[in-house]
Amino acid sequence: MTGKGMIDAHTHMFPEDVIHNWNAYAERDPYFGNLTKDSPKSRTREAFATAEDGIREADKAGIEVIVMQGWYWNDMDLCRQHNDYMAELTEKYPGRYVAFGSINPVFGKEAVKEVERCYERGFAGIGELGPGGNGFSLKDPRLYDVLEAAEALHLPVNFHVGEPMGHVYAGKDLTPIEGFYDLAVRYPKLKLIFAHMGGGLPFYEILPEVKEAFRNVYYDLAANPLLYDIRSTKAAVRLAGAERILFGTDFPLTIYPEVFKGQDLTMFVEDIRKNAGLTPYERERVMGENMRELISVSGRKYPGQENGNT
Amino acid sequence: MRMKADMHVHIVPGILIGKTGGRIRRSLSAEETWNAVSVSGAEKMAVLGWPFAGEEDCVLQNDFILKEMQKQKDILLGFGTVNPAAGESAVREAERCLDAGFFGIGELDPEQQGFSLTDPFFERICTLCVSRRRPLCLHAGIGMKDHGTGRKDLLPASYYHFIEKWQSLVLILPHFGGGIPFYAMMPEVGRHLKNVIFDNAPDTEKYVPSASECAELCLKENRLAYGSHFPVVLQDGKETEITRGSCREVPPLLGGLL
Repeated sequence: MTGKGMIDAHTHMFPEDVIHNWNAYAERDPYFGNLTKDSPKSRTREAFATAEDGIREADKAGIEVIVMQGWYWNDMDLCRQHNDYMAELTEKYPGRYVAFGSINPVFGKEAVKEVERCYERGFAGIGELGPGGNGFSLKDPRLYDVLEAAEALHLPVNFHVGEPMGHVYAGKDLTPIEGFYDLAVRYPKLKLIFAHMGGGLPFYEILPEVKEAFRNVYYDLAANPLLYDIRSTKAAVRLAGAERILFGTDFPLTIYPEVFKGQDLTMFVEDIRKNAGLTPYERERVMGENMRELISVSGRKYPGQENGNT
Repeated sequence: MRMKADMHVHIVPGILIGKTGGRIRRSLSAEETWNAVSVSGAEKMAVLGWPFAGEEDCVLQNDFILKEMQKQKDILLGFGTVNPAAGESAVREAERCLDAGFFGIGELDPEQQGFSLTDPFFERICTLCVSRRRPLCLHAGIGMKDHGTGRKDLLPASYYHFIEKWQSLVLILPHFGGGIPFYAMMPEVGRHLKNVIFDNAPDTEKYVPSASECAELCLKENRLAYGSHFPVVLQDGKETEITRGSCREVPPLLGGLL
């Protein structure tokens, strides 16, 4: 990593075996099947991309680092298999791919062990955790165990967060968003990333007590064009501060389905550049600097880095 | 009509002060209230009823506000409050208020008054407001803390279903609508909010200084009214402060009803 380019904080790269044998995996994990099936009814689709596809699209868009979020598998072996694949990518493409571990807290001690294994393999965080998809509440002691393991290893944690209103779509997580406030209060030192603009949580930062509780909370913009008008980027920056918003796409999800249904990382980058109204400083923070600091938070050396910190 | 107004103050008769749960400590006349709130630059003030659970308390308060309206015709916009849980008598009281010249109905509070947003009598009051083209003000508290009372879900989802159903109703949601303005940036939600006005009245605590600017960014157009919430006592034990010059122009949707 040169420490200068843009960072996509939220993508999903699946093992090629999953791509080629989708039916078998969809049968093994029906939630995965439901979310990734190509349905003519759905407005968008969860596309798949190989590691090379990701690099090609990142190069076109000027993105230096692709942060792979894990998937909320409901099968412990699939979590491990996916994590092994992401570890391979970080080794094969040092400085281009960075991994967050697939962790399902429902697996209890096995999940905690997997957090530790991810750490040993150089992962930069864990997540995207999916409370709705994995069927755990935000008050589940098994979740607390996972978060405490992450906190001890200084690993940031990414949560899938859904909006309490608006259109219904596959994967919309209706876990009440106030529970995330309780988590932030419970773990004030843990770096939490609330994906998909935190389901609207940034607005509650107009309350000083919430702003204080969320000082270690970040929001990513993954899938934002499917959910919100582009002015939401500026609004989130004003509400939370430019230092706590992370550019992310949810690649290879198609996020401008009315315009283009193929693999793409360029359109969102351009939309932000032309239409979001960010200042140069805000753009620099959102498009890379914040995530660069976050993935170095454990202070360790991971593939592609000369030193522990970029 | 372009004018500045404080769209959220309360005047409660002395006999009912003890029933506000300590949120209001003084019974002030409209004149005393106006002397305090007009510092903001307001040209008018909307006096909202306190959402008492007892229907007889609502009637008593409405009579009190009506008297004050007659004394301060040029500055006071009265809102009548009722408790839909009281049934038919609440509908009749709402009609009485609008017949008497009240500007709208509210502030109603489903949680405090114990009625549901699908209550048939509440729906009749909504129908009345739609037919008379008068606004309805529904309390929308904002906050995240449990306060040890077994916090209920945040408001946005349940209120949004109500808004979707009552598209012709001019609705005022105080206290930044409990967080709803953020979702105005979701195109399909924004379309449904065309008749909804929010106010920036502090609920239990003050907001960060940029709160109104952020809400405006979310809402895109002028649908944020100024509300002082005077003389309500906030979490810090003090009455809401009125900042000189802080009043805003009434959003066009409400201005058109003045």
